[in-house]
Amino acid sequence: MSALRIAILGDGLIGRMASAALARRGVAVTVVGTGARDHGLGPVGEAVTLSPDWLASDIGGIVPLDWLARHGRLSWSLGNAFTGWGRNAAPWFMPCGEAGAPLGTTPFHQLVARARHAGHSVRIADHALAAIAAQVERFAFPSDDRRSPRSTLALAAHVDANALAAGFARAGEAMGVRHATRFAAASVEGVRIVALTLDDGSRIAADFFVDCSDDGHLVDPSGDGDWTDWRDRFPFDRVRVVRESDTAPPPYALVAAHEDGWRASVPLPDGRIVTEFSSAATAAADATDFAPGMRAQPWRGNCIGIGSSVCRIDPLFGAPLMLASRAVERLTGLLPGSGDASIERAEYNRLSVQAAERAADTVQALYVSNGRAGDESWDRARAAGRSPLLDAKLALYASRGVVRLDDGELFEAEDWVSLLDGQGIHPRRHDPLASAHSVEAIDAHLARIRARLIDEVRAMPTHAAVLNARN
Amino acid sequence: MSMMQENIKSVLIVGGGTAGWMTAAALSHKLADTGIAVQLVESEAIGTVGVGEATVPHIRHFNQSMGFDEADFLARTNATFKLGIEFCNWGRIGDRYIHPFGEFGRSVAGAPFIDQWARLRRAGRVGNLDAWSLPVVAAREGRFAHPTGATDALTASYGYAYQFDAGLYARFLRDYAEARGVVRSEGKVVAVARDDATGHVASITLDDGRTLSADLFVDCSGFRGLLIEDTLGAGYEDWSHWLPCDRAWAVPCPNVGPIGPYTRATAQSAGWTWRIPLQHRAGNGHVFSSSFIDDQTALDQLIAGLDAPPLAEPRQLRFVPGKRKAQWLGNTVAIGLSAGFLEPLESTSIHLIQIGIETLLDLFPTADWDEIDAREYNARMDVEYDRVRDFIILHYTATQRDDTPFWNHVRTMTLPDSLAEKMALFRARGHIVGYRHGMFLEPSWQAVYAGQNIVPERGGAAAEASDLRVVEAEMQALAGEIARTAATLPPHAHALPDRLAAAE
Repeated sequence: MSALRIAILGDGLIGRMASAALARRGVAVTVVGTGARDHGLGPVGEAVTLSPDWLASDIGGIVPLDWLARHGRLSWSLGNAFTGWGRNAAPWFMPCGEAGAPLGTTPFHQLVARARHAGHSVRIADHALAAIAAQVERFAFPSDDRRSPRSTLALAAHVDANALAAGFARAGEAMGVRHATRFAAASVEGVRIVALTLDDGSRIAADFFVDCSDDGHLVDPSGDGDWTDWRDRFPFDRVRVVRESDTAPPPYALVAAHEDGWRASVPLPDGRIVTEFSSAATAAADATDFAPGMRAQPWRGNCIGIGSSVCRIDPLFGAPLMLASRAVERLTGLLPGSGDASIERAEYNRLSVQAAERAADTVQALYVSNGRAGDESWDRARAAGRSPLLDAKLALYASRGVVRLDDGELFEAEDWVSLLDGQGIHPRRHDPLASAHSVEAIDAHLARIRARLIDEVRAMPTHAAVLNARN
Repeated sequence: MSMMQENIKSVLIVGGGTAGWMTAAALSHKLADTGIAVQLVESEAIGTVGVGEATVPHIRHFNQSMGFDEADFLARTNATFKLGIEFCNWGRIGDRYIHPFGEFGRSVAGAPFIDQWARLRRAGRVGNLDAWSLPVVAAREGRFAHPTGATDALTASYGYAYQFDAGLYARFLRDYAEARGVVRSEGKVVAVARDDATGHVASITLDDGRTLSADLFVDCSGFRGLLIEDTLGAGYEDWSHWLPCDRAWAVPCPNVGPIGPYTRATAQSAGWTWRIPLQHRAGNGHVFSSSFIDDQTALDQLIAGLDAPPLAEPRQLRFVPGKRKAQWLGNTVAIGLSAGFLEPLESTSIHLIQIGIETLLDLFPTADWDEIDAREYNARMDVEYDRVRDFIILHYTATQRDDTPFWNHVRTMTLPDSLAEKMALFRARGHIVGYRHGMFLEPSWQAVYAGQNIVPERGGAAAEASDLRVVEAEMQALAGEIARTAATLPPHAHALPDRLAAAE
């Protein structure tokens, strides 16, 4: 039987990523460029965060990190620093890797909650190796040896989107992916696309078409009413990306909130990429529109949109790349080799909407818990409507520090604890089972962890030294 | 600033048996050093349902978390190892398949195993999935070894569970719990008092006149739901329209021949019979629908199918399949049969008890009785029960049998939407709907679909682009490798406690 043919529109990061993943599954793939350098991430995709989960996924393993590091376009990450967001306006750090350690079977954050209820002031990140190392710009790779504190680290990186796209292009072409340019129009018969026409008049026929262009040239020819607008949930809809020079890249990204927006600095070896979100009221003249939302049916007929053409979400926690990557995995898992795909399509759309909703919940959790009372946009964000699942999650956590995980989540429990605790949400109750440990025993446990981690950080090289050695 | 949180001080478990003593043992362990006292009241005059009981691999996590020594546990509960469940006569009369604890096959010619299997099955080149599962082949040959080796090795490709005497397991747990301070009272509950202001259960009165009070009550009283239903009126969601079986006969008989490391479930004319081999005997039973068969005929079918003459008088159980509308109400949590009843076709009873206990510990209440705990508990348990329910219904609806009114009924009944959607996806494409919560992962669904002759109509792109002859050769090679590996595993009896192995 002959291989399934797929044409992918958009030869930026998401298009190239999809092409390599599909080619690996025996699909005959042609990537068609639009002429624009669209990474499929909308106006924010200059630099991307490769989260530990992404790096551990099948797709995250396609482009060797060594290759990216050798080409000088990668910087290691120990996590994200947040300033100006929380209730007490204290900065906080979301580490890549574990924070603290359980005592018996009591989770670390429940020990912290018990200590706080006894009047002690404890910061979770002070007990995470990644966070302590990040403060002094030191870095080490995770260890497989469970006895080493470095086994609590989880590898993450920041990378230039162009470099990652090139890595996927290289991997894809080695598996037979073809590249054509430049897209001119789609030939449509009824509800199905039959071919893409190029500007030289040639045609690329295929069984399925995947739209990884920034603006969705294929998924949205008619501008129909399939789009769910999230602007009422996310307060900032203007964005501007600038490159700034930097001396030595720190091993973390900085996400700083201000009166009417926030600014994320993602460090790369040759400078940082700064993404600025704001409302229209204070946006710079050269800012572009960013309308968050999602398409209820990212797969219609034989056309599947992946990336910003079907879901736009604020680029926090590596969410846009993770969503696109999971969409590609979902598609490779569900694409039929033949026949009508209506059942697969319905399931794909159900799962895609679920994943987008849960990712939106994650990002919105940051907004609804903001502590910037008196700043108009932030006040609106705090009062915005939210999904019943997010409401339930926040209520349960606030009550007793238990994280409720739903299908399609972007985060694991420890990430939620990190986010909610960082934002200053301290559970009203601790786990009653934590009462088995005296506050003195917990104090001693916390002090022991902290001392061990500080010793470990002293033995770690600087991030700059690691980058220089690898590159 | 200091905020003192007030913990509850006492728990009273009403009812012994598997649910009561599992709860008591787990609480005695997990609440150690919290100052929360645990009591249990049970009556020797009230029998427990405990018969030969089969489990799923999660029971090992329960046992491990309690610190049980496996050899000690096996010896004291007359336990055997279990690699899966054999289903006979479900799809059609004469069909047999085993639902194992482990994945089937591995990627073949760069495509998912199930897609490749389906292609060969459609072409009439292979039968069911049995040959591509080490635990299935080992079970059929009466072999067992603990999983071992590198994570991708065949010898590590499966899990296992136990079959044990539930009465002995309860006794084993009781010793453990009592050694950790659980206070047991003997007596029948004759009255329940409630707090006027909160509606909470305040105390129970026993037949000898004693009154026991507590902050938290755990209702392990069985089907009846002494507290959750009789006192609190939680209400019951009846699932008879999907699961028409409502009675069971149970009877033990001697083992005949080597003891198999698996449970058997054989479909009958209006229900199914179980055979659960323990070290010293086999537990047997017949789960049937009183709407389609009378008690005597059901009993006759059970006795006729025994491997050897019965060792005791048959006992009858009656039940209504379904679940309590709320399993946690006020200060009372129902665990075990008081929370709901699903026939033991997939050995889920003890697992649901275990999930109830773990969820209670995760959401253990505090003295202010924040209602969010009960709300969350009920939401989580609803998902667990609903998902087990769907999986059990699958065994009935995925049949081609039309030889009795019972099978005609279950073959053609209207299904829950949640199940109909899952089945449609498998039928069309071999896709298993995944979920984060709820037992039964992809291989379990594949086992039953394939074992009951539901073959996907098409596969994925990678499978359909691969060369069928290459696929067939790779599949055969894999089956050969599994057969050869299975042959190296020791007989099941060798893995059982010494005294049994020595006796053979």
